[in-house]
Amino acid sequence: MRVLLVVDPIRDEFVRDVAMAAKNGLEASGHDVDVVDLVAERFPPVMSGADRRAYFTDDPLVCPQAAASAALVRSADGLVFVYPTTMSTVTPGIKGWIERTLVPGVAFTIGAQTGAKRGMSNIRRLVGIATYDDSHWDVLRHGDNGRRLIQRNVRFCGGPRTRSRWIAMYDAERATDVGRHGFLERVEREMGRL
Amino acid sequence: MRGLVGNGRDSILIDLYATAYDPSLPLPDSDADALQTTTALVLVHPTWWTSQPAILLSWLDQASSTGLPNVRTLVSVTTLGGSRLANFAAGESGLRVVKRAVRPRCVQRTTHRRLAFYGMDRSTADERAAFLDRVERRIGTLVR
Repeated sequence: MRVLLVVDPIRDEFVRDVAMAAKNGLEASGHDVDVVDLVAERFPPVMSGADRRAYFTDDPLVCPQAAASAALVRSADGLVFVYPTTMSTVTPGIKGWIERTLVPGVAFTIGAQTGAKRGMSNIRRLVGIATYDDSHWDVLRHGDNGRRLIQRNVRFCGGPRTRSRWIAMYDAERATDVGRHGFLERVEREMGRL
Repeated sequence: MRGLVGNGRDSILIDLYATAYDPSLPLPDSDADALQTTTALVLVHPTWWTSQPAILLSWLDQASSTGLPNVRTLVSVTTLGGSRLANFAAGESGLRVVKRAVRPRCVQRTTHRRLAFYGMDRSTADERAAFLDRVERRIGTLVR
């Protein structure tokens, strides 16, 4: 399986470690892994005027970085997001990547009458790995917008055969080194079994 | 802006695109200063992937971590491509982001109201004009 890992290690080096653990786990099981590190690549999260004007045309990928990501999405069988939860949702970086990469023709198609139709059926596995500063209870109570975005809205583009998996670290702010190490091991183990 | 100024509200406009807001830099000082005395924050945005565009999410994250010590009223003015039903099914994350992540950084008992234009993708020019009218008429009463 070819897996695309999208990671936003914004202000948090631990998230990069988590992504590396996921990569190691996947590679140990013989999967090919592509990594898009939004901070290292300085992926622009803002949809520009040119992006927006091209959005509903036949060629919406005007930004070379978004086009490169879209090519990786098209050739992938699995898609993994790794991010620290920010404002109860994905980081602005991940949101920007989704807005600018999963455009019409990549993740879905828009018909004049039919509305949006799924177009990412090559993605068979969808995984979210998120850290939360809040406790599990608080996240349940307040709603998890990042998880909803990925497991409902992005998964819709994959279709009924896209299986999704969620790996969460709650109370990340108060985590000890032992807790962090345990989470890295868990990520590596679970991704190895994907 | 016309609705706010017409009702005598002292208003500042921050256009993230016109000011070339860059999410990789700290919040501009002028924005941070303005937020210290702001009592009402009006967010005007399209809804993409069920929530605010990344540029606004980033600005909100920076603005609310700086603090919104005097904000008593939050208003979202937003357009949504799909129908009310389609957006309900998709989850309305944009509403929840403001309620769960921005409102707790404001004054206690801050209210959040929304003026929403559903079905933007298939709307007619008349419907869009009617929404503009509605925003201009209602905004003055929503912002106390």
